[in-house]
Amino acid sequence: MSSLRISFEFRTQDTNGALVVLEVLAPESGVVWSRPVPLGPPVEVQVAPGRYVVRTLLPSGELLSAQAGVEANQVRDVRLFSEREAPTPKLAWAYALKQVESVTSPSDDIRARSWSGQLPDWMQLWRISHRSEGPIWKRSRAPLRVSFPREDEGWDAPEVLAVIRIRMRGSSYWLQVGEVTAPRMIALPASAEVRVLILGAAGSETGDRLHVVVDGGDGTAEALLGYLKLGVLDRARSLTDVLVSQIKDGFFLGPAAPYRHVVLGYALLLCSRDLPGPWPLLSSTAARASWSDTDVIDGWFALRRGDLYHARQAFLRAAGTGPPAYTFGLRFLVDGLRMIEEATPDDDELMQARTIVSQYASIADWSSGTTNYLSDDLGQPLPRGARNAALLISPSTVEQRGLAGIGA
Amino acid sequence: MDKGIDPQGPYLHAMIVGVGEYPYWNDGIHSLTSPVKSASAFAKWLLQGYHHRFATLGSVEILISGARLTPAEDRGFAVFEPTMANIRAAFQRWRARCHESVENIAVFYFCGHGFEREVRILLAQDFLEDQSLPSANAIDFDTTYRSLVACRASTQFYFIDACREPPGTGMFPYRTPGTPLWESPPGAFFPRAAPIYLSSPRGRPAFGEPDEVSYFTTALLSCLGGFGAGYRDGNHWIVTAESLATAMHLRLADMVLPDGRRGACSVEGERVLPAEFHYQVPPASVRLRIRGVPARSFARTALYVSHSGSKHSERAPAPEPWNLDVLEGKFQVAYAFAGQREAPESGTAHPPLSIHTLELPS
Repeated sequence: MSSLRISFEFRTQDTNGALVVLEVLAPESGVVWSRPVPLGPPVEVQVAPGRYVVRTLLPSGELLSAQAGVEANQVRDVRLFSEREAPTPKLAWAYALKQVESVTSPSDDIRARSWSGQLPDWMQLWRISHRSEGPIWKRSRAPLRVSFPREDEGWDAPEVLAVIRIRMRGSSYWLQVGEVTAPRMIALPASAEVRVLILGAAGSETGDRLHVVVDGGDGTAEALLGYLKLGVLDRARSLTDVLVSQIKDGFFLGPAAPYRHVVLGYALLLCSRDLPGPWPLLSSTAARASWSDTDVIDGWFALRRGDLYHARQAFLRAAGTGPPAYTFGLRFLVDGLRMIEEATPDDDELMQARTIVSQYASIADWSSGTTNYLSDDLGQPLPRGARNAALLISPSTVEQRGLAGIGA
Repeated sequence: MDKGIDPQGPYLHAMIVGVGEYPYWNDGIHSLTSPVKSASAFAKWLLQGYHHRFATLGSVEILISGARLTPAEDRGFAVFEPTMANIRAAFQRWRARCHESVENIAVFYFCGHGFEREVRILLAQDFLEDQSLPSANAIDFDTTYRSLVACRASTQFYFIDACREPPGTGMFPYRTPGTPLWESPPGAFFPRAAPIYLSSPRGRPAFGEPDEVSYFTTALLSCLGGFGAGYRDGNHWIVTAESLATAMHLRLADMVLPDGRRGACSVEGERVLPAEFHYQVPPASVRLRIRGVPARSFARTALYVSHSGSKHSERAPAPEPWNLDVLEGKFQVAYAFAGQREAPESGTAHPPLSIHTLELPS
């Protein structure tokens, strides 16, 4: 038997076990082998002697391909190269798994202000606690490490403004990024550790001009999210099958479990014909309390099986908890509320919920993986055209009660 | 166009809307020339270039400003002005036909003005005919799309070639929610593959040069004409929902738009079933990319490519990869590094993208 030894010749070290779908094709007969494989170690594929094309679509959207001929009983090396390789192994997760927008370098002024080693003045980390009287926003003291590219670190990425690692302790966290006129609220996944890459544009003075990439630290969930965003649902389905079988085998625990479940839930809704019964995370109250995603997914599972009452209740719970962490969730929530509202047009409670969610949906950045919107105050979406420099969150604000329009 | 439908099918039923005239919107200053060209070109491809292993072309509803295709594509089919009333009537006919069989394929194409806030809105030709009711002739695409989950056609393709900027900025100051073309009763969920191919990411405009086919539709036709090949089945290349998505990303990323950005295709919608759109007769088209490592050596390397289906090409040393459009099949790459010409390497161009990496001396 012959084999192809396929290696990834670019930085993959920090992709946290991400699976990507690797394909081996015979030019005349099509795909002969296709499987999710870990992005990192070489993969050996047994094939009949012949000439083959090897390719993979990275979740970043980059299509890699190479080809080689192999003779009988020969092992042939095939090397896949990336043209958008991360400038440092520390950022492999972003460049391989995320659609890092190509932007110009941030201004020297912003860069200089970022090099203090502390969270700079244009970033804040907030945490929401859910109480009976409504959500409470608190400035978070979660351990975080901010690093900034510096010449002495030996890598060159002029577009990179900052890299942040945040260790989180339950609950839901928002990162507020941006300068005076338009701070941007960015939802962080419910994971034990979150990584954030911030890229800047020249002369950037507002959150609008910053490109923020968020990662929950689970490579396969992030890869799945990337495939969903690219609309390549055949590949997403391959990863979904892996995750579903891991759940069945009880292999789905660990600190990333809640957010992994959430990404899987959206994937199932988008690309799976037969949903696996009721949404399996319902028993996890901790996960439900932190973000509204689980209720959104629960509602859609109910909608798909024709249980409009259950769906209504789930969507109302979701709207009361606040926007979902994931942009897919916000879209699903808007659509779900509208569908139920069409069925029951005089439902005031539903109409109120939809009005609240619409505020976020109308200004959310749909190209972002996690929910992301401009804000003039904590949790309050800011309509475009209504920005006001005076509305910048005061650094002295340490606690604010209530997510505007939501809760008590 | 209607071939006289056999309810058994399966058929592809298409609805094509190209809105170039907006006579009531600021006295027509927002009228466009590209949508008529683009919708006509897509209609022409459908009528002449579409092939499917199972679903033949059943009907095409065509609504284009001027009520005719461009002269080059005009074959005497009934074409209607894309007013809201005409769009709605055509939509009902189209939906009813699509609903006749689970194996039918529904295709919806729109080119014209649009915007997006909470939902995607597409503007009919008589938009703002009643200035006091801007939502009357603006289509709520999202509700329409969601409602079509109750349509039996299990394969539905949507192509939306319109801006996705929010209202309230630039030339569109309204916050109208729009009017759906159809609202289905809740509770009906037919499993479907229903990809939506959008001409830009949210918040960005779509572009077309005056009197030319738009960038998005140009990329789409290029993919349907050869670059979108997914897998080979005997003598045919099958264009699937996924292969079309991958190829559209590649083709649009090649284009530099008038705003200086690279083109981008956004692919949304659910797809709980696999979906074939079309088959092509070989040869498929391929983007061939020649690159080399290490990069500093590649920048000093002259390249020569010969391919069975095209003429010999060569390129002087340059740092960036060399992209060529070729037909599928064997090729040879020769190169000269530091003035020394090396023995050629051979490969097979395979859609949508074949990358040949030269491993050069340091």
